[in-house]
Amino acid sequence: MVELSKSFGDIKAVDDLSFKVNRGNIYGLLGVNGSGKSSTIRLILNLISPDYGSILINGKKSSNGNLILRKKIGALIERPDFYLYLSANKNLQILLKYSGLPPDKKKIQETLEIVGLLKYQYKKIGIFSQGMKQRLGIAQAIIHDPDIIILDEPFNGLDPQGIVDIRNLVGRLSQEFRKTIILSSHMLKEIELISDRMLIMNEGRAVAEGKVEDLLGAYKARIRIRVSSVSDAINTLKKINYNKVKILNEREIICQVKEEEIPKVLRILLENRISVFNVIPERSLEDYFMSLV
Amino acid sequence: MILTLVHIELEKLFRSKRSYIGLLAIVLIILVIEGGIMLQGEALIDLISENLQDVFILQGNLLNGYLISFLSINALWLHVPILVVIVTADLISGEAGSGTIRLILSRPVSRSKLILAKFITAIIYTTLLVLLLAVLSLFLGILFFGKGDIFVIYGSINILQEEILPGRFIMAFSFGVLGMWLVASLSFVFSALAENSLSPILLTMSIIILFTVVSSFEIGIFEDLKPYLFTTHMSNWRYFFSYKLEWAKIMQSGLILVAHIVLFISLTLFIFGKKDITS
Repeated sequence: MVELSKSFGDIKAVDDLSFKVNRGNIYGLLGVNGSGKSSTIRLILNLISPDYGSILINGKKSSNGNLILRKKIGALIERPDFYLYLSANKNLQILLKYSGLPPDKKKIQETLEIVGLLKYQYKKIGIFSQGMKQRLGIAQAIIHDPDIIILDEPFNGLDPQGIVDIRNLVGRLSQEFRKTIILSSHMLKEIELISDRMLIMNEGRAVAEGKVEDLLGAYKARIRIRVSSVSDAINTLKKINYNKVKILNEREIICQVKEEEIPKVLRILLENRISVFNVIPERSLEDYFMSLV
Repeated sequence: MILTLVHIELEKLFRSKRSYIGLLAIVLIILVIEGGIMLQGEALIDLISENLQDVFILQGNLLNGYLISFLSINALWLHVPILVVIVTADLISGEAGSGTIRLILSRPVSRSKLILAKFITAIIYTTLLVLLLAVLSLFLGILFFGKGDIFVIYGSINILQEEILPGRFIMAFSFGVLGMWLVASLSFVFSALAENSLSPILLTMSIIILFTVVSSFEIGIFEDLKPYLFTTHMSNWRYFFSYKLEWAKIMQSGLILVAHIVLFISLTLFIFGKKDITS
């Protein structure tokens, strides 16, 4: 996407946004509600037209009339909406036809099997739970075997098991089927766990972009340290003017440090005869995200 | 591709219960009308012909299937658009309201082909609705009341012989279908603009009612406006019940209806082509 901008009246939904997604990557779009993630996805899919800028897919300009490029994309956009009076199977048959493909029953059953809905294939969508609709939303996005899969808030309305299932499915689509995936979510942990690269958006603009580990590595995060004596550990660190430390519980302290400072902190503790039993990085995307937006 | 799209649209249409409301309503209304006439038909004939009996000697089966069919259409013609619009106005806006338009347009589907496929579907549905009205009113009318000549007061008194009536009814219904296609095309314009079904239904019906009311007033300014209102031409199916067919007038009205349909569909294509899908 190159210098893309889109306004709705006075509101700038997307403001001079540029980013690149490499083939086979999982690219996370992260932002609070209203940050411009869904508008960005709608721009990629030509559901809305940009005021300025362009979208290139495999080097070719994507536009409303470029249907060949759209064959390469599968998408779940915000809510998984379907024809509620039709069965899951019939909905997928219709969507395959819209993609210019025959309503291959075997393909439909295989896809429903992947998302765990095969036994409900002849049930009307009207009786589906939100989680089931979400899975079917992913099924319709992958059924025509697209190269690029765009998932907008795929974890919405899912229970913890559903979130794990979708996370695993997305990982499988990337690793096993070599799909390029653009994933938007406000669920920071999921983006952190799944994505190779990510773009953090706020008020329609990109505020950070890069590999997830690079972005988080540069960020001053927290570590939780299990020590033999929390009071000795706190006093030792405060003596050397290391004040960003506090007691978490009777066995653990928590320090805010940069990644490269961690060995130094541990060395000081050990030199002062304080045993270290466990070090758990507490760096979180949430902290990083909040520092940016 | 367009045939595939039409096939999909028809499949969706006829799997939705909403689509049967209009068809069911036609069946019920015709049954009620024919049942009512069966019970009190003679009184109706007396009412219609009381003035004529002073001048003419009326003989034969006046209360026949053709007359009942004509009266049914005459009474229903302003109500059929409601049944048409309930379905056609929903074809685009219903997809926007339910969010399924995103599903369709994120696939390799051309917006213009989608609209054309939906309009062809609307045309098929509308034709089916009018066909049902025609077949049911004629079939039940002839079944219960037999055949015969009819007299129609339209400009002058027209007495039409039984032999020519099947052809006249076919032509009148065909012209009537054209009027209903226009209603469908008008509903498409509002449907392309809206995100729910109700607004286009109300807007389309408001315009039809407004134009019909305006064309029914026989006063100066309204009289001047009449030829420019499509509702005036929609009701010109009655031309086919004149003793002598005035083809010039029929062709003119027909062309005006076609021109309106082309205009409304072009407008729909333009609006929908530019529309940001935000639902």
